[in-house]
Amino acid sequence: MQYFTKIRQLLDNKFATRAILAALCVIMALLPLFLNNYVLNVLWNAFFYMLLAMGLNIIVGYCGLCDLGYAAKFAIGAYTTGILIKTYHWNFWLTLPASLAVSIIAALLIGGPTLKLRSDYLAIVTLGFAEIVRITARNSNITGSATGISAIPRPSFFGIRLVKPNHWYYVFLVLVIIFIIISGRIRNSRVGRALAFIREDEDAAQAMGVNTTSYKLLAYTIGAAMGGITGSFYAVKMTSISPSSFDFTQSVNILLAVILGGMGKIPGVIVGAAFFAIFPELFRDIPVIGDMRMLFFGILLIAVMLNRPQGLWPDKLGSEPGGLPGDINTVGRR
Amino acid sequence: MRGKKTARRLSLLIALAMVLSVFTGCGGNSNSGGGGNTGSGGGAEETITIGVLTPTSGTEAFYGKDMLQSYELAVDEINAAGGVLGRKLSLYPADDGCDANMASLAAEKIISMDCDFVVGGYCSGATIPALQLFYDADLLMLISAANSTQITALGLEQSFMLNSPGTHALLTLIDLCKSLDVKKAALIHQGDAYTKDLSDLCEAGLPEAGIEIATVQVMDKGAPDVSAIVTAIRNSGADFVYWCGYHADGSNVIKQLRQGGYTGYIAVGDGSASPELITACGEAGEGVYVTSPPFVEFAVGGEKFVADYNAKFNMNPGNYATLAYDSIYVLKAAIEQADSIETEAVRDAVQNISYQGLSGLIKFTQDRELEVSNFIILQIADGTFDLVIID
Repeated sequence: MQYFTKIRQLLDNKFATRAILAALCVIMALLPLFLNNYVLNVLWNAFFYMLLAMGLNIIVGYCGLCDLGYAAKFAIGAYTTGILIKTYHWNFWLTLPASLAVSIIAALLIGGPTLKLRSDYLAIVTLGFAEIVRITARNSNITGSATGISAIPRPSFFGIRLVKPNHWYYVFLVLVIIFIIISGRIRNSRVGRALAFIREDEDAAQAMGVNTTSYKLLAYTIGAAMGGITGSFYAVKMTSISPSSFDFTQSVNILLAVILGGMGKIPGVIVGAAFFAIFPELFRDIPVIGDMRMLFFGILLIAVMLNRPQGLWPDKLGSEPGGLPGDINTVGRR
Repeated sequence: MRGKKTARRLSLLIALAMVLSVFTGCGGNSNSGGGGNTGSGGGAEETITIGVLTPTSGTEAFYGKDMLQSYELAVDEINAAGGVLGRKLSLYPADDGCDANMASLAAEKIISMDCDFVVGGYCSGATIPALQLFYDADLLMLISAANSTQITALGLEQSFMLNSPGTHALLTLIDLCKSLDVKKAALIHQGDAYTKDLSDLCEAGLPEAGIEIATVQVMDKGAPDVSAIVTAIRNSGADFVYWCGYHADGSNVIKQLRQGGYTGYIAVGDGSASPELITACGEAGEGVYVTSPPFVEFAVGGEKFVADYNAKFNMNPGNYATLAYDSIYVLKAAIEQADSIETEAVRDAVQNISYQGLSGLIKFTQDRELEVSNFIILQIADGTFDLVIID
């Protein structure tokens, strides 16, 4: 299809890209003036999945590590903030560095010994870690056991108490933009190229002098830190958190958003996450079919995977630093 | 390549669908704005819309559907009898999927549809985030099934719990123990939040009622051999065993207690209040007591409800059907008493209501919990549950 190629060509033009991005930012910033709370909340949910998907993208998309337990990273951030605010009465903004620190320490503890493993083993370890976090949260008193932590007070931002849906819309929009910038900077840096090298061929990377374990650990830690921060904001947005929000399905959902959109590519991941969050809501009011929406989603996912195994908006062929033409689906290949 | 073209087309289609999605989302809502509630100024024909927040997808979908059907049954009955204040009722169901995220979206959807009241609430974890949103939108919610004490702790004065909290199970258990003249009770739980909470409550509460705690045992889920627990209970001299866990393991414990020569009373908590317990226990189950949520079979007027439910949906009502059914009638009574659908007036009416429903007497404390426990005591006799009435 020519349109598609033309759009791609247009997006390759740096000036055009910037203009489009700027226009998009303005549109997104003005949207709350026209939309009601429900639609804003759906968009918020899309932003939320975008943040998680971008964090996971660093681990899965950039570095090719298979992480089946991303919900744990986001749970750690959410619980750190929840506990610090509820039990120790911290200010929300002060819990952010704490949540960042706890996420990083947890990632180092779990990643340090296990990242020497190859992908499939790592998948098992991350899955196990996620279950440990969830079950610990479910059975500890400080995390409120099965009912979780509720009535977390909403934070203020320069005197504005963040209560309304449009407040949270803007908070998460800003977070999405920050995460895009972080992801983009990492991708185009020396670290990003090293990660891509590891993803494409770990042995070759090692042979060329890339310290694979420490780069993998770095990617894992950055991804975990992004998840932790997202979790912190999630906790105060929802005002309550419980272990059921961080189960295995949640991890799979985030991974699906990344795979659906296209691993490694920021717009792809964003499209995937947005699609994932908005699709089920479209079906909400349709009788009978509404109850079967997950069935349709599953069929669609299979269709996408059969026809576009590299995702809806994958990395460009060949132009990826370190990438080989037509050889993008690296997680599947390993 | 053959697949390439279709693939591109498909992806474009999906992209298009996504763009459209945003627009349909807005469109749907601008329509709904007109049909909203105009308060007391509304005409007689205008319907009263009740939002329903239940999980109709996911692992808890069975209970969510059951509740939704009970609401439908009650609404149809009321509408057939002329409605409330001459106005018909209508339901707006929103699926919370037993998930906090989905529940907050469902709640926003209910709010954006200009519903006048909300009923529902099965999973506490999903109900709590929604409650805050309803409170912000000045909506009254009658919570039919969720009964976490955390809901009370939120202190939102526009939400009422129609189901008994765990503390009520203890009161019912004390009644049972007193009638059986129990001296020493043994407790067994399964280490998870729900069963441990119940066990902790009993451990603290039974001694206050003059019943000694002989021992507290923990049984791991699915453990096949519980002989160590049986021995410990026999040695402790307990004449009453209370199983706080679920029916899956409960039958095993009951069987092994009897095989191990324990002859005292056995009672089980509401986690085991299921007909499956009877089939799994067989002979050993005879005489076992159950502190159970209100089973519709034992309610006054219950036969009619079961028959109507069966006729309409071709299935039997589940554990929370009566509570859901009563929620609508409590709302009806409160609206009639308030003679208005203003949230505050109806709220005050609900606070002062005294309604004898299928699930028992519905009357609220100042904390908006049930005043009287709706737990009932059942006993297994000849392979069925029999209701035990203690004066």
